[in-house]
Amino acid sequence: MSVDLKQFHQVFFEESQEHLDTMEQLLMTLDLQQPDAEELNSIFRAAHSIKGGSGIFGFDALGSVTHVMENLLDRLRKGLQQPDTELVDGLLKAVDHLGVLLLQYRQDEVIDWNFVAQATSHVETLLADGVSQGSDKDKSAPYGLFEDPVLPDRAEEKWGLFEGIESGPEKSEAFGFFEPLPGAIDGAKESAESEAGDSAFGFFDEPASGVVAEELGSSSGEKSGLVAAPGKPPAPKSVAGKKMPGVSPTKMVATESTSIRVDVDKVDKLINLVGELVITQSMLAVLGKDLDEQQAERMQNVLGELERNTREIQESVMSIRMLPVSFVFNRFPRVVRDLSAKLGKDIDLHIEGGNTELDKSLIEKLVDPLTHLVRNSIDHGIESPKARAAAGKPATGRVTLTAAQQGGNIIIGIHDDGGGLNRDRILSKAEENGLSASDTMSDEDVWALIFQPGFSTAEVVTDVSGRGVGMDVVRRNISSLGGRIEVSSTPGQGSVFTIVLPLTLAIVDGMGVRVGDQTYIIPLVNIVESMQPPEKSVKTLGKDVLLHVRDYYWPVLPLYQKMNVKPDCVDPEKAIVVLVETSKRRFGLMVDELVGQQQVVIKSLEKHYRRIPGVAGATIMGDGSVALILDVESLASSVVDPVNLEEIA
Amino acid sequence: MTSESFGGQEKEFLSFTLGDEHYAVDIMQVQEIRGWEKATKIANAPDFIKGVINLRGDIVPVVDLRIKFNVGKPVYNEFTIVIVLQIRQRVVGIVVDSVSDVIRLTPDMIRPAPEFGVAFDSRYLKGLSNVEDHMVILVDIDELITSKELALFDQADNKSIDH
Repeated sequence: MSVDLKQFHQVFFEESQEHLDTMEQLLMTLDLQQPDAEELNSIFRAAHSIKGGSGIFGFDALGSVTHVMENLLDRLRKGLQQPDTELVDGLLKAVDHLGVLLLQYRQDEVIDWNFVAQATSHVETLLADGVSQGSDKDKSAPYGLFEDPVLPDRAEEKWGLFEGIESGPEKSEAFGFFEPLPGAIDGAKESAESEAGDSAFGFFDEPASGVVAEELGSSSGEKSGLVAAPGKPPAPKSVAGKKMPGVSPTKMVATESTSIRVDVDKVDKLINLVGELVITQSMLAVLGKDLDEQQAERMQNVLGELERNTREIQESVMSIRMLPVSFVFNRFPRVVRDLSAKLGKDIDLHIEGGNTELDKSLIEKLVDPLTHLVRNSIDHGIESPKARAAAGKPATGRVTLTAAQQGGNIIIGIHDDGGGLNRDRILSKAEENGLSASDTMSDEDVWALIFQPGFSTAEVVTDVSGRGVGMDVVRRNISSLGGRIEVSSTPGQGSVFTIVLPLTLAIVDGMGVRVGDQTYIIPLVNIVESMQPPEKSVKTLGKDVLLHVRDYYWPVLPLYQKMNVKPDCVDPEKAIVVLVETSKRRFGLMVDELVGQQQVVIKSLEKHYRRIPGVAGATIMGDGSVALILDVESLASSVVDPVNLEEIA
Repeated sequence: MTSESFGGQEKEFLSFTLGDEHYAVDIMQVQEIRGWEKATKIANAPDFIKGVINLRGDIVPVVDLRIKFNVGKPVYNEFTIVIVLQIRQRVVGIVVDSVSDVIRLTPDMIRPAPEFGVAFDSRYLKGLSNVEDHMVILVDIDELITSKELALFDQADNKSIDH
C-alpha cells in the first residue's frame, strides 16, 4: 500500500500548500467583529483536508498540528469562541509551522518533533484560553477524534460547497464522486474510513467524511437536487451508518471540474513545439513568395490561413502557462500585516489588477523582488505614525500594488504614500559609497542610484531591509526576466516603483536589424525610434559619436564594433541609428539596415553553448538561419555616460 | 571517461580526417552528420568557434578543430562536413574535412597514445590504432569538448540544462 500511496505524495503536497495559502488568505481577511461563517468553514475545511491527507500518508506531524487547529477552528465556526487578533496571529503562526513541516516532508527531511510539539502546544494554548472562557456554553469537549458535536453545522458545510462560495472547481469535483450523502450517524470511525478511501485518490481537496446528521438528510437531499440530474429523487433519508461511496455518473457530469493538473514539463514541451511550428510556418511563407504566379495566389491564401491558425495555437498554448498576478499579490497582505506590526506602523494594503495574467515562470521569479520592494516601501517609504501626523497625513499609511497589461507588457506598480525618496540623502550616500554622483544630476538619475550595488540610505539597519544588498539584486532579477524597473518619487507624497515585464519569456517582439551579413534582433520594448540621422545632429567627440535628437545627446554605439562584424557603412550619417532606452541609460545603436519588425521565439544559447555578453538569446529566422537577440540592457553598460559630456557637446 | 573499459567487446568508431590525419570518435556520441552550412557569427568568440547553427530548433555551436589544433586548412566547401556530437546532454558540431568510415576496434587493437606528434594534447586521446595501413587517432571527444581549453560551456553550468 505504501508503494501505491507514494505516487500521490506530490499531489498531496501541492494541495496542502494550496490549503495553507487559502487558510492564510482567509485568516488575513477575517472580520474579527463579525466573522463570516462561510470563511470560517473554509478555513476549517482546509485544515481538515490537510489533516485527512496527512493521516493517510502517515505524515503524523502535520496531522497532530492540524488536529488541534481543527479543534480550535471548529469552536470558532460554531461561535463558541470569538476570534481576536491574538488568535488570528496564533493561527497564522500555526499555518507557518505547517508550511515548514510540509517542506520537511516534501524534501524527505527528518521531522523535528520538538518543533511539532511546540507548534501543537502553541495552538493548544489558544484553545485552552477559549475553552476556559466559553466552557459554560460548550459542554462537549472538542478533543475527540472527530469533533462530532453539533452535526448540523458540518452538514451545512458540506452542502455549502455546492453553492460554490469559497470552493474552487476541484472541491466540487471531489464531491462529484459521491452520492449526495444523507449521512452516517455513527460518525467518527466511519468518516475516518471514508476519508482514507477518498484521499487515496489523491485528487480531492476535501475528503468527504460521512459525518452528516440524520436529521439533515432531507434538507441535504433538497440541496443536492441542485446538482443531481433532474428527476432524480432525493437520496433516501439516512441509511444510518452506511457509507455510499458509489460514483454517480450524472452528477460527475454536472460538477465536472473545469481544470486539470498538468505537469509543467508537458506544457513547456508543447510550447517549444509550437515555437517550432511558428518557425516552420514563417519558412513556408518565405518559400511561398518564390512561386510562379498561377500557384502563388492559392499558396498565399493557404499560407494566410496557416498563419492565422498557428498564431491562434500559439496564443492558446501560451495562455496555458498564464496565471493571474494575484498568485504573488495574495501573499502580501500577510507580509504587510507582519511588518507593520513589527515596525509599529499602521498600513493599509490595496491590490488592483490582481486578475492580470502573467507567464507562470515570471510569476515565480517575481516573488522575491516584489517582496523586497514591498518591504522596502513599508520600512523606508511609509513614515512613522508620528511623522505622518506631523506632515498632516492620515496616520494609516497606504501601499498599493497594481498590475495591468499594456501592449505586450505587464506593468506592475508598488505605490506608497510615504515621504518619497530623499534626494540629498541619496546623493550624499552615493558619494560616501564612491558612486559617481553630482548635484546637477536629474531626479531620475538620482533615483537610479538606489539600484547601484551596495547602496542603502536607511539610517538604521533593520532586519527588515537596509543592508544595501537589496535594490541592485531586485534590478538584476527583474532584468533577468527581460524587464526593467523604474522609480519615481515626489517628496512628501510617496514613491512609485514600476516594473515593466514582457508578457512571456518565450516570445519577444523585436526589430530585425542587419549589420554586414549578420542579422540581429532588438527587443521592441527597448526601442524609442529609428532614424537615418541628419548630418547636423551628428556630433563627434574624440572617437565617440553623439546624436543630438529631442534635446538629448544620445551616445552612439556602432553595433559592428561591438559584434565584431564587417559593416556596410561606418559613417553614422549613412547608417541607421536605432535609439534605445534601458533602465540605465539611453543610447543609439548604429546598424546598416532595418530588416523589419517581427515576433521571434527566444531560444536559449546556454542550452548547448554559453552566455554571450550583449546577447539575450537567439532565434530562428524565416529562412532557417540563426539571429542573435541583443541584450540592450547589458550593451548599455559599455556606452559612455552622456551626462558628463553634455556641456562639451 | 578515459579509463572506460570495452569489456573485451568490439566497439564502433566514426573516423574522419583533419588535413592529412585520420581521427576517430566513439560512434555512440555522434548524433548526426551534416553538410557545412554557414553559421551565425558570435561576437568576440575565439576564431575556432565558427558560430551557432539551427539544428531543428536548437541553437548549436560549431567548432572548427582544424583552426584550434592547427591541422590542415580551414576551407569551407561542399565537401566540408559537420559532425554533430551529443556530449553530456549538450549538442556540439565539429567541422572536419571529410568523414571516412565506421571502424570496429577491440581493446587489443588500440595502443597507447604517444606524448607527441599529434595535434591534440594527449589528455584528449584514447589511443592509436592501425586501420588499413594508416594510423587512426582515437579522440576522447567528451574530454575535449568539455575541456576548459575550448571553453564551450560556462564551467559553472556544465551540468545544468536550461530551456
